[in-house]
Amino acid sequence: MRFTVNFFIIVAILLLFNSCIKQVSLNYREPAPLLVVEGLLLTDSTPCKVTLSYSGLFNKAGAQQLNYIDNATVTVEDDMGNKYPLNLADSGVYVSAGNWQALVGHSYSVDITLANGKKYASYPEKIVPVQKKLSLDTVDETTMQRPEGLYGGVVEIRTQDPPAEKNYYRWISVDYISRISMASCGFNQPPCTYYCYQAYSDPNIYVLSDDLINGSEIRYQPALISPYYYYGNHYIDIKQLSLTKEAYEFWRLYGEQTTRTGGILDPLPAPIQGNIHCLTDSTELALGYFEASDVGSFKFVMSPAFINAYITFFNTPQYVSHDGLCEDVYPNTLKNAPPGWENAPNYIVKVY
Amino acid sequence: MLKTTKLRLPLHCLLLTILLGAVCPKAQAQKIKFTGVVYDYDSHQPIGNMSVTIEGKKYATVTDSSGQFSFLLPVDNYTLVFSSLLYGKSSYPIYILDKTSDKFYLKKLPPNELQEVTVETVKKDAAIKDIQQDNVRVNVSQLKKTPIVFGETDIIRALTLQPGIITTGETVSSYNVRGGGADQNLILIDGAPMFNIAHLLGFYTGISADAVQDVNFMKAGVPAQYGSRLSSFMMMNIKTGNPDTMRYNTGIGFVSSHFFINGPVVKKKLSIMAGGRIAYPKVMMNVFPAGSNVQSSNAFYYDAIAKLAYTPNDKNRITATFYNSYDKYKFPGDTSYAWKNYIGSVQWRSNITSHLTLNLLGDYSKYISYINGLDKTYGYSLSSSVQQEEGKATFNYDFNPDQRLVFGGGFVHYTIAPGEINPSGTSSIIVHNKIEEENANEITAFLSTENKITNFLEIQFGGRFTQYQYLGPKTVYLYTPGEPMTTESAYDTLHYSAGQAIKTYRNFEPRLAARFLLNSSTSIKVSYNQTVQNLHLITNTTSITPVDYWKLSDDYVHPEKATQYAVGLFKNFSNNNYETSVEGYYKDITDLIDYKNGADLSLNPALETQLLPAKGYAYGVELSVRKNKGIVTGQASYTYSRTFEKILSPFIQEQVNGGAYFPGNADRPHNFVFSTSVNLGKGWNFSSNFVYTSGRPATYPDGSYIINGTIVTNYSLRNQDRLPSYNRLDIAFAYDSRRYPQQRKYSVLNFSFYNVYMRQNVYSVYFKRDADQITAYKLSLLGSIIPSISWNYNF
Repeated sequence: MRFTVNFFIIVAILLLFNSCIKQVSLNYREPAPLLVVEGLLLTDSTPCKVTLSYSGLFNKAGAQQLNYIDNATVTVEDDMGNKYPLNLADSGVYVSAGNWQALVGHSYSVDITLANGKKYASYPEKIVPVQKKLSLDTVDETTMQRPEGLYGGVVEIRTQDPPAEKNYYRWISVDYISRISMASCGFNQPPCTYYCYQAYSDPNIYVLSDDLINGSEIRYQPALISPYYYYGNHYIDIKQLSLTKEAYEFWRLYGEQTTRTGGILDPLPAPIQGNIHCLTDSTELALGYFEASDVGSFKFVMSPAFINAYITFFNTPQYVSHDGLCEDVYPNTLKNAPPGWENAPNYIVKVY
Repeated sequence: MLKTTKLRLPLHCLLLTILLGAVCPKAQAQKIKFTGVVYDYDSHQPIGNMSVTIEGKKYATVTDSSGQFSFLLPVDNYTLVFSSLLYGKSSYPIYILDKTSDKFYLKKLPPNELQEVTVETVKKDAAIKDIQQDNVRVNVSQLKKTPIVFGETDIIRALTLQPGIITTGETVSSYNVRGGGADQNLILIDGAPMFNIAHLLGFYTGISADAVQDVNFMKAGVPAQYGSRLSSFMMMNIKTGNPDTMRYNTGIGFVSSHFFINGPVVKKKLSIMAGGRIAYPKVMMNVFPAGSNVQSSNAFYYDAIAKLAYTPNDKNRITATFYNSYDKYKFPGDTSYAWKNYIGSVQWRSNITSHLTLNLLGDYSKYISYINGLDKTYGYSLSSSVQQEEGKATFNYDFNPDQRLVFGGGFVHYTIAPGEINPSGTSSIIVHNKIEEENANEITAFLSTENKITNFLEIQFGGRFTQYQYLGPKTVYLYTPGEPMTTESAYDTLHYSAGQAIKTYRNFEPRLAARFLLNSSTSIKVSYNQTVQNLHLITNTTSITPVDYWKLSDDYVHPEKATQYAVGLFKNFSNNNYETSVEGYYKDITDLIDYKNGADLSLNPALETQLLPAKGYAYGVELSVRKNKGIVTGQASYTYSRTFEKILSPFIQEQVNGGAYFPGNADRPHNFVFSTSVNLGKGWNFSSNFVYTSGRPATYPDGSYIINGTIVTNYSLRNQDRLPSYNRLDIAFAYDSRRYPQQRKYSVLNFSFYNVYMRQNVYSVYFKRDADQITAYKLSLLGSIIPSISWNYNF
C-alpha cells in the first residue's frame, strides 16, 4: 500500500486565485489617421446627426477634441434618389436641415466628401420596423464605473419580440438628470443651493439579438443607467431601435471591445468593422457606422426617493460644484424641467 | 518473469553448420552470431538500453532502441543475463547451436520496486542508433522528485521542458509543438483520443500521474499507423494491474485526493488498476473574506480511470480502459463553465506467430462542454460535444530483427454537436435552439516498413491513406461566387438526408525517415512527413477553453495539411555520458482555419461565413546538450523557431494585415531550458528548471477613436506586437529513503519552489479606458513564488 500526503501550502492557493494586474506603459504604433463616422438616422422627428473625426492615439485626456472634421460635405441619400444635405452644427457634428423624416422600408446611406477631395460612403441601411410598444419593468440600483463612485439606477424595460422575423435591438435614451450646485449668497451667509437638469449621455451600449429569444417577451432588459447626483427627478425617454444585422454586429463588437479584461476567455482583439468605405481609394479603410433605424419610444419621469444623502453629497463631493449657478457650471443643462414630459407617467424609485 | 518463443533455426542453416562441422573440424571453434530482441511482456514494445551479459563470461552489451542485441559466440551453452532498473535482473539459458536468434519478453518490476529514474528522451545510445529523431519518453515515476507546482506532479508541464514544445502562459492545456496550433496535438489514452486534457482552467493535466505508466511523445516522424493531427502525437500508457498481489495507493491533499487499487481479480489471468482523483479547491477559497472575488468563485473537478487486463494464454492479451472526468468553475459573475470526458478503449493483442502480431483496438471518446448563464431572465445552458468511435487493426510482421512491416487499417465515425441552448428556468426568456449535428466517416489504411539495410543506413518508410466523408443529415448553404461568404450572399440551401455523402476527401500521407550512422557515436537523421487533420477546434481565444467547440471538414472547411522536413545531427561523447544534438525543421501548413475580425462563432448555423482560409509555415533549429551520468546530470536546450500565417481572401474587408504573412499565435522565437539534478548523497537530491521564452505575439492598439462619446481602441494590425519575455526558475529538494531498488517501505519527500524569483510573467495585456484615456494593463496568472511540499510514503 502506498500512502501519499500532499501538504499544499495555503499561500499557493491564495496566489492561484490572486492573479496580478498591473498598469504597464507600452510603445504604440501610430499609423495614418482614419476617418471615423458616427451617424444616426431615425424615423421620428429627431434630426439626423453625423459626427466626423479622425482616429488618433488618445492616450492623453482631451486629445480627442483636436480630431473633429469641420469642413466636410455630408449628404444623406435614400433609395429613391433623394439627397438631404447636413449642416455643421458643432465641431465635427453635422445635422439635417428641414423637417424630412426617414421612412420604414427604405434604404439610406451617407456620402462624405472631405476637404482633401477624398470621398466616402456608407453601405445602404434598410430601415426595418420595430416593436413600438415598450414599458418600464423595474429600476435596479448599481454602482457606476462612469461617472465613477456614483450610484445609479439601471432602467430595465419590457417589450414583446415579434416571432415572425429576425430582430436586432438597440436602446438609446434621452435623460435629463437633476444636478445641484452651490455658491456664496453673501458674507456670513450659508451657501445657496441651485438646481438644474443636465442632459446625460449614457456611455453604455444596450443591444440584443432575438437569435436566442425569438418570440419571447423581453423582460428586465437594461436600457439605461442613470446616475444619482441628487434626488430630483430624471426625465427619461427610452428609444427602442431596430438594427440591421450589420449594425447589431458593429455594436456587439463595440461592447465586447470596451469590456475586455485580458482573461483566457477574451476573444483575440480585432478591429471593429463598420459600413463606411472609401470611394476614391478601395484600399483605404474607414471606421464607424451610419445607422438608420425605426424607433419606438417610452417617456417617463423617474423620482429617486429615500436616497441616501451621504452617497450624493459626502461620498462624491467632486460632483457638486461650489462655483456658481447650476446651469452655468455644468454643460448641457436646463434651468427648468425639460418640455415634453408633461403627460409622462411618474415612477418613484426607492434608493437606500 | 521471462518467457521466450521457440524459433526454429532454418533447416538450410542447420545443415550447413553440421556440414561445416563434419568437413572441417575447426568449424567447431568458429563463432556464430547470435541475435536477440527484447520486448516488454505487457506492451510488446522493444526495450532499449537494457544490459545483456553472459554469465561467467566477459561478453556484455546493451540493446538498441529496437530492443536488439547480438553476440559473436563459439558454439556452446550460455546463460544470458538481462538487467535494467525497470525490469530488474533475469536470466535465460541458450544453446548457441539451437538458434541464432530469439525473442525475449520481460516483465516490468512491480511499481513499488521501480527505482526512480529521470525524464528522458529516448537517447543515450538510442539517440544515435534510433531512427526516430524527435521521440520524447517520460517516465512518470521520476516526476515526483522534480519541481512541482500546487503540490501536483504534472505530465505535460514536464513535457514543456523539451525543446520545441511551449505553452500559452502558465496553463498546460494548450501546448504548441513546433509552431502548430493547440488543436493539432493528438493525445491518446491507451489508444483512445482525449479532446480536452485540462483541469481547473488548464493548470493541471486531466489525468493523474499516478495512473500513468509512461508517456511517448513525438514531434515529427509519427508512425504511419497514427495520424489525424498535424503537429504531435502523445501516447499515455495507463498502468496495468499487478497480476499477483493487490496494492493500494492513496493520497490526501489540500486541493485534491486520490485513491487507486492495483492487483489481480483472477490471479495471473485478470488484473485491474482503478481509481480516481477528486479536487475541492472551494474549501480553500472559503478561507477568503465573504464577498471577495475568491470567496465568490467556485471550482471542482474529478477524474476516474480503470483498466482491466486479461491474459488467457501466452499469446493473447486483452485490455479495457475506461476514463471519465468532470470539471466546473465559476468566477464572480453570471456565467459558469463545465466539461466532461468519457473515454473507453478495448485492445486485443495476439501473437499469431512468432513473427506476426495483431493488435485490435476499439475505442470511444466523447467530450462535452457546458456554459451556464445564471442570469434570471436570460438563464441558459449551452452545450456542445465531440464524439469519436473507432475500430482499428494493426499487424506487425518481423521478418528478422532488421526488417519489420507494420500494416493495417481502421474506421472512425465522428459526431459533433456544435451547440444546443436551453432555458435554465421558467423565468428565463431564452428559447431552445440547436445547431445541426455534424457526422463523418473516415477509413484509413497504413503501411510502414523499417529496414536496417546496413549498419550505416536504416530506413523507415510508408504511408497512410485516408478517405474522409462528410455526411448528412445536414443543411448546406450555397453562396454567390465572387462575393465574401456572408448570410446575405447565400442564395440557396441544399438538404442532405442521413448518411448521404456531402463531401469526400482522399489524402495520402507519405512518411519517410532515415538514419545514417557515421560511427558508433555520431549519426544523421532525416525525415519527411505529411499529416492531414479533418477535425478542427473552433476557438478565438489564446488558450483552449470551454467556449470552444470542434468542427469537421466540410464543403467549405478543407482538411488541414502539414508537410514537415526535419534533419538532425546527433553526437554522443564519453561513452554516451554526454549527448548533443542539432535538429532543424521546416513545416508547411495549408488550409488552416482563421477567423474574420470579430467572428460570431457561437450557435452559428452558417459557421463558414465567419471563417477564413489561411496558410502558414514554421521553421526552427533545436540545440540540446544532455549529461546522463555522475553526481550532476541535466539538460540544456535552446530553440530558435518561427511560425507565420497568412489569410487567403481576395476581399479587402476580410484580409488581415493587408494579406501579408504575420506571426502566428505560437510564434515565440527564443526558447531556452536548463534542467539540472544533483545527487547530494544520503538520499537527498536537488533539481532545478530554468525556462526562458520569448513573449508570444500580441495585438496592441495602434489608434483610438470616439464612438458614442467613448474612446474605442483600434487594432488594425494583428500580432505585430509581442508580450514581454517569459522566464522562471523552479527548484526542488527531494529526500528518498530507499537504499536499494526492491525496498518496499520508503518515503519520498519533495520541497518545491515554483517561480523562485517571483517574476510576474505576463499572460496578456489588455486596454481599458480610464477617464479620457486608454491605459494598458498586464495580467500575470502566477505572479509569485509557489512553495509546495509533497510527501509520499510507500509500504
